[in-house]
Amino acid sequence: MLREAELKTLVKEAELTWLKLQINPHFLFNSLNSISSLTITAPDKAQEMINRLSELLRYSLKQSPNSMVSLSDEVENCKKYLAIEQVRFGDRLKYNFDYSNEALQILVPSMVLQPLFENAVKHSVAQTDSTSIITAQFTQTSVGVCVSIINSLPETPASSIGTGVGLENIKRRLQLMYGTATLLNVNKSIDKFTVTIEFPDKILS
Amino acid sequence: MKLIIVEDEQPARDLLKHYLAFDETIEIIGEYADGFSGALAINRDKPDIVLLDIQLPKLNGFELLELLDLSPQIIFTTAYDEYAIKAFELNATDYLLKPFSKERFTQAVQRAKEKVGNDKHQEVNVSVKAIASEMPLNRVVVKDSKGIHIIAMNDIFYIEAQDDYIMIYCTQGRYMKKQTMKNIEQRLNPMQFVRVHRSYIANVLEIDKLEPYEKDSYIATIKNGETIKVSASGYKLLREQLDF
Repeated sequence: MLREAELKTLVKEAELTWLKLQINPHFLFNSLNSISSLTITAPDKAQEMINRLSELLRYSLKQSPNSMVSLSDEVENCKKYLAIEQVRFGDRLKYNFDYSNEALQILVPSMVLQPLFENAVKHSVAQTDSTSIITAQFTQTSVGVCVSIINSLPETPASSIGTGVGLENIKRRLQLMYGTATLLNVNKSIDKFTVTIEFPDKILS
Repeated sequence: MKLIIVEDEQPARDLLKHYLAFDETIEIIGEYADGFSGALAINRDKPDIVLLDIQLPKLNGFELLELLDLSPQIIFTTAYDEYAIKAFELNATDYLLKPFSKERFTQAVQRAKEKVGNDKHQEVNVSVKAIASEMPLNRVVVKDSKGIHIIAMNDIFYIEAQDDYIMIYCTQGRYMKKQTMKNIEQRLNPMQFVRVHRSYIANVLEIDKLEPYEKDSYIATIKNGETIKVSASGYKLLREQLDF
């Protein structure tokens, strides 16, 4: 009996940790602040932003560490995320997606893409007042789908260097689900940062 | 009373201006979207009050504070920031957590206005500087007659002590900064920067050669061709760090 209770607590704790990982407080409170402003300057936009933010939160609450979703669901979610960031950053943020609908049919672990876009925003548009560009490419390969997320890098050195914890978490999850450690790769050049994930067709059973 | 806004997000600026529109005693003399132009404007235009975001492009709010000649009343506006939370604990200055109400905002501005009369343009608030000076460095910001320079860690060859100042030798040249060796040493990544001598901190990635000099001392040749002294204890630290 006691063991079962203990187990339940552990599961609950794991779930809570998972949720906490999904919601970036900096993003959430800045978005709420934008909404607060829009209620005065543009109430229609405020409402739109509340809807988008709610959808984003609902999506992340619905997922668990083991859930699989279609890549197209993930892409839709990331577009909502970027649309919210664009309200905050305006013309400073530009993004584009390049994919075929077939490529998006594949199943992937949920919530792996949004943290990559959050990183891209943090290291590009948040660091410079000139325009930053985030590009996402989805290519079908013989074994699955290859996703590349590329962000421009500002000229001045960043005030904070990422700890890489976010990328490590995704790497670990991919390894658990696919049994391969080499699916996620990063490449940094002087003006560009690229993260590539190769999603295989099959997961470990 | 003159006020400057340093905030990179348009909606956040709009909100601040909306809150301030009800206060006839405040004149907004400038709005800046990055820490760099904010620092220049504050030193030039000498506002009484500054509304300052912490996460900003180019220079963050704390780096901006380090560059000020005189300190206006600073009200931090931030969404979530571990260092800001530290500032709150020390009660160093007033701060607003986004999103904030008009009442809370008005209260902060009121407090700042009352302080303006008392300690106008004092040295930058000591405890605020103390927090800024505890943060680990990922880049060094210096100011000289030509302007503000941002130096990446990897561009630094070595740092030399000069009384209360340090001289930073880097790929762009050399820059003087008012800071103690002890302070900068504590804030640098110890894997990369080693105090090789009472007067020198070296970037270990930039050391080309290490040769014995006099009894118990050594000379390090830096990749830019210059040489610096290495003491016996500095040599020991280098051996530990570089594993030779």
